[in-house]
Amino acid sequence: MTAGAGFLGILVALAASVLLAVNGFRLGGERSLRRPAIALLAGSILAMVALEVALVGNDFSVSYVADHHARSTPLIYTIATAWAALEGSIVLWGLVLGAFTYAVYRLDRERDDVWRYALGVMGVVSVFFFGMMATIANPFEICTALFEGRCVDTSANVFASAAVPADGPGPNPLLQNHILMAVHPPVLYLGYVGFAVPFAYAIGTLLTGTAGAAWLERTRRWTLAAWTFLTLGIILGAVWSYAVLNWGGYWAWDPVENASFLPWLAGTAFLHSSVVERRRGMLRTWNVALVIATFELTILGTFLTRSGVVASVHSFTQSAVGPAILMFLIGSSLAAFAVFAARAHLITQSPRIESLASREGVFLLNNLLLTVFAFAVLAGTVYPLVLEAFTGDQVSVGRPFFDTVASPISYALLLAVGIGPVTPYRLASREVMRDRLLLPTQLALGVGAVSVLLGRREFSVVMVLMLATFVVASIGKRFVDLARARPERSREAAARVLGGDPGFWGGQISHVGVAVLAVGLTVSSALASQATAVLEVGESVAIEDFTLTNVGVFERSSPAKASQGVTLELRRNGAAVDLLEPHLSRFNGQGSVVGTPGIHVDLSGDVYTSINALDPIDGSVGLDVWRYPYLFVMWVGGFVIVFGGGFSMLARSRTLRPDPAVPVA
Amino acid sequence: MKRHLSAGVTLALAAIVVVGLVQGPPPSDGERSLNLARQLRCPQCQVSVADSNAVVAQTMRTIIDEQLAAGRSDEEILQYFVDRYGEWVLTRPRWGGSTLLLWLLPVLAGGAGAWAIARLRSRREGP
Repeated sequence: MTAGAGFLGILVALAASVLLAVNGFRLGGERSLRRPAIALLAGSILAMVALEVALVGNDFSVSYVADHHARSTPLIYTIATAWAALEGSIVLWGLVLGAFTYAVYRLDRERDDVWRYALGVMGVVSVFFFGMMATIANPFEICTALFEGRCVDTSANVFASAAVPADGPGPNPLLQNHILMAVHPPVLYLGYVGFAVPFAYAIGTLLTGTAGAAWLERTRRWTLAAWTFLTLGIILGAVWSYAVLNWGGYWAWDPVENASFLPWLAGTAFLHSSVVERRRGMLRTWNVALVIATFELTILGTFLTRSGVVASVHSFTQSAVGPAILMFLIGSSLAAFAVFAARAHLITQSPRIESLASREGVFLLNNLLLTVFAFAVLAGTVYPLVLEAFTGDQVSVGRPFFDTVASPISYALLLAVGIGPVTPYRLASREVMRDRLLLPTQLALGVGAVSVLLGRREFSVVMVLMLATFVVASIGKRFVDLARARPERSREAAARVLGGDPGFWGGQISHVGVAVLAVGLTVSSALASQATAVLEVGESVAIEDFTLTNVGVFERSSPAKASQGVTLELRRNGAAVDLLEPHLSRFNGQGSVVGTPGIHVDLSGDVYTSINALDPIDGSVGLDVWRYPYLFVMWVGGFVIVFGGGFSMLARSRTLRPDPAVPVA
Repeated sequence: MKRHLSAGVTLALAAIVVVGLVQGPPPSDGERSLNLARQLRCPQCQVSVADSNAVVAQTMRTIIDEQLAAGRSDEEILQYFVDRYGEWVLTRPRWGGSTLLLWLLPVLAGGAGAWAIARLRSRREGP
């Protein structure tokens, strides 16, 4: 019954996507697009709701429930189970796609041909995803045969007579271990799928061959929304990795993380280069290409994470889904770039850059750096796969490669972040730049000198402290100068400056966030320390000014999991500060053991403990311990970046106004 | 006058930073050991030798420490492991052989981009 409703939802959405694609590309009237857009949304909601109802209602006749749910799983993880495995995650994907498509239909006030084509493109993308759900990734199959209580055969016929298992194995243990599992995937999908919208508008713009300022406003708004969600999704993913995966870190440059970082880099490049087009009418074809590339990178990411070509917590199983996504990646890239090649000349403008010593010049540098960064990450991610496919040679590309590449590019990017926002358009005179950058430069060098004199010799730490100071001082000085130049009193003046150009200042908030994140990331990793110890009950291990004492093992069990762990008393300079409980758990009687770290967080940094061996009988425990100074600074920076994106979006929509004349200086 | 003073302050601060960073002590054996362990992949698992508790990773860490104590250079130690496990064991592939292209691609992309920007600028000055 539930399975039938869910499958019906998928079929309705599929039919609606076909109609939307056809009517969009036929440039049909508004009414011919209205019903498909609504039906697509309704079908995708029905599928998602049916999946949740089946999970929460313990309907084990549904194949997805039988394979990935257990009666003992707590409610919150039962809800999150809907996206904890392959088929269900595509249902969520479809829901987000349906919602974005409807938003494009509803929110765009301009009902022109670009909009019709854009809806057509959204339709084509939806055909692919709902087509997969209806065939090779159908979560609503009926379980028809059991072996040892587990579902071993299924039928796509929802009227087939069901063989209902009494219970299921539950979701992947790693995915029912932290509350963020309920939040991180949906947020990330909002970012990933959101990039389909600017892509659709870019294709529409190319097909009509008319790109006014309107194309840019449309794509920028949607890109900013997708970018903000993607940024938040990546940060939440890092927090989850840190709190759950028990390896003592938050970012490993593994292919799945890279897959989310690649569209982020390309989208970030577009957010910057689109400003150049908006203000100076340059770079339009480059911007269109960036939007297309961003979307294709999200599909590449989907392929890497969902196909099983790379081993990771995100890749679920080998299935026909991988090849299907690969075909879609290749097909959509070819189609998009064919359209680009055939039509780009219609929208090209003659670029006119007066001097590279200008805001435009710094934006070009920014785009060069971000593109090269993306290129290097892409190369590092797919090189081993491609090399092995063609030559059979196996190579590893791991963190040291990415760190080697990322450090110099990041330093250059931070420098550009400090210079760019205060550089005038057209031509930056020596005097103006001196006035705006001298103080920040001196402050930065001052911070560098003090840290060196205090004994810091780590190149990365000194470098990032200086660059971050430079960024914050440069942006801060500009803000104060502008506020002072206004007639109002200081508070009001500050509000006027922010409100006068919320898009710009939202960006600057994000820039400050980037600087703060860079400091937290660099300091916490360069000054980290690590210890390994085997502790009998009563024994201690020291790390910096902390000591950890084994005060005994514990066992705990709930319906869903059974855990064994150790209680560690954390003392700092002799004073007790915390009790940590790293533990090992088994879920629903499954064989694999999942380790959960015990983490102490405070403003001076974290102490992270993880169990590598535990003897519950004599109470001895093998521990890995890390100390990450000032790690919280990194998280703060990350959320400031997201806040800046949200500020731009919300403040801009509230103060929509005609584009001001280009301000000189 | 004020301007000269300001330039002097800037230069003095820069000098302190540069001298301080250049004068830093050479990395200790412990730091080198950790750094080398990070550049080697644990043959039995996905992670680096530094991040793994597998027996083979522990053995490899011991070998690194022994070779460091024997005065070998970083390159010699990495080569020792490549001879035994193949290029696969390096998490930062070397500049050369089948992984040369990996390093060259980003460099070429950067060069092409810089060239395109330079061209963008010179077009204005054309006829």
